[in-house]
Amino acid sequence: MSKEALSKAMAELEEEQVIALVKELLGSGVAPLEIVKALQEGMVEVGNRFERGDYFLSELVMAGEIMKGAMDILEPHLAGESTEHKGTIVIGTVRGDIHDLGKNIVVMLLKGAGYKVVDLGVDVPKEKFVEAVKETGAPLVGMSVLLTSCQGALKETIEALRAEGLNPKVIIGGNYVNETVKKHVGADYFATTASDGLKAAAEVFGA
Amino acid sequence: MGRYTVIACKVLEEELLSLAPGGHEWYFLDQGLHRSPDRLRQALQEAIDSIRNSERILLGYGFCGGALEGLRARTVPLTIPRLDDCISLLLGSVEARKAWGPETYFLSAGWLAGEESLVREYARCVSRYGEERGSLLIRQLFCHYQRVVFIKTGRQGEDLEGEKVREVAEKIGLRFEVTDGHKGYLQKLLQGPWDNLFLHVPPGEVVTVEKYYTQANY
Repeated sequence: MSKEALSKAMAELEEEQVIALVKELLGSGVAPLEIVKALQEGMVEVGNRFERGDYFLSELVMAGEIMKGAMDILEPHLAGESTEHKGTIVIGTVRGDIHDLGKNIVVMLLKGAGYKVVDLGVDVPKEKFVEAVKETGAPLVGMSVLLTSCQGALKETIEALRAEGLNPKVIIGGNYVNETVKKHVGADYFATTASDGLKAAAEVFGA
Repeated sequence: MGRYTVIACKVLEEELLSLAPGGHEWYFLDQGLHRSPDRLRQALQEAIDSIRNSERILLGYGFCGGALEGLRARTVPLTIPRLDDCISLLLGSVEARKAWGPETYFLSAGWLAGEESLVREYARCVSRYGEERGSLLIRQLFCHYQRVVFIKTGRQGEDLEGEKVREVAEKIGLRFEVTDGHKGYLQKLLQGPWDNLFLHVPPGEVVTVEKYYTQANY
């Protein structure tokens, strides 16, 4: 019974084992945030196995399902740990793109790390991002993208926020984004992995 | 060595060879590389580096999730279709693809011939997780899609392949449609004229995302 065993079970997609270990670790007094970290490490290995060709897309969906099950158990305890969340993050997949496997995992990990996350879903028009930032005053906005053809949508969405005088930090996330894309679309951060996204959030919120 | 050397994805192999004019040299790379832009980039760069005696290298690829970013032309210039991936190449234009909307998942017989496709994924998933859970996972994977479109390109036996796609599409509750591909773009890639639809990378220069999407249809 250890955090390592939990990471391994997550990587192996052993659903029952993951759930049992999460409960055991909680019961033995391990901090929920530590448990989320162990799950996250397992997810990193899932991603590596996908890149190597050992896992397929359905394994990524399966990993998301297992993670969701684990988070359902953890969430009440996370709320107990910090009744005041660390801050609000608005997130969505930009207009023209409906891919959300990665985004959904990031959302779970951000919630696990203690943030309030407003998930706008997929194919999100720029107006919806603007509205959500106005409503929540979120200091960080995450824009997810997989299709290279949706780079224009990233740029337009960021421009729409700025045109309204809204200045949250913007992080773009996806497999192909990099420094060049970040500069081109006018974002503040980019992330190709969930871990990079969490690091950027920690920087923005000083957490 | 021929005047022109083609480095292309296996997904396009039959389509390109059916258009084959004389004098082209061919390299086809595994389509499974597309899941890792880094590995695809590395394989492409190795292929490019191995070619010395050619007038021009023609790449049968789109931007492929950023895989082409950072590729360097050595002594031979590169000519690359200015679009996102093979689907627009098979359909003949970026516009033809856009017209279907983002909720469309495309397949062709070339895709089904590879390791990874909706049909294989469905079968694998059901055998690993059982009929109920497996089917549910695939449904979830495709939850934002409305239709599966099978692109006919004139490959041998493609109607049979299309039927396999139809069966899976029905099982996961997606509409199934068939459309004809258009070989105009592929034809132009092989024979020119290499107009604004193509990115030209002179010897020593590097492919960048900015060059890619400048003056393109985006």
